Amino acid sequence: MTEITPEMLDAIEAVKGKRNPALWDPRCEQYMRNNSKGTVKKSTTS
Amino acid sequence: MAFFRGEEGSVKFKNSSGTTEAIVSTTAWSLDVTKDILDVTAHGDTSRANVGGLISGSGTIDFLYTAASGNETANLLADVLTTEDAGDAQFELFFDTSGSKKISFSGIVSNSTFSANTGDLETVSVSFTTNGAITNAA
Repeated sequence: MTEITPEMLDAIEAVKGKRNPALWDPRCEQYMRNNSKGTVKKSTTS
Repeated sequence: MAFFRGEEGSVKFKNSSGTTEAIVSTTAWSLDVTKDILDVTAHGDTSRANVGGLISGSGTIDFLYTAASGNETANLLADVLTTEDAGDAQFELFFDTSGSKKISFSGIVSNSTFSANTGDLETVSVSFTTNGAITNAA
């Protein structure tokens, strides 16, 4: 069984509206994957 | 009069709100749309009378397994595992390659069958049931 991390719980809450580990599914995984892409910080030159 | 061959068909899918994307290596799709029949026969009638009731649909999408990842083909393959499914997945079943003749609806993936047979390509067959209105632009 998949061990649910706090980050995964956040994804579950964002997708399902509940912090229930049993609701972890491919859509939560997709959200987490896309969300992590969006939070990559760009380097600054100044 | 134009005829269309099965090879011209295609499928687009999105597992939530947003823009649908083409499913890779589809080989077949089918959709069965049904309307409930409500009997309104009353005293004095000599023939049974009916009116149409609720409309629903179900069908299948078949595609070759291509180990797709990070796209809607992968999402369609995995959508049967969605917990507390809201039925918000979007389906578009196309009759033509130009993509203008289609049937679209929201639905729920209810079954996925994965096959790996010796001497044959590995395949996936996804069954779905519609949720809400079915739009026919065929």
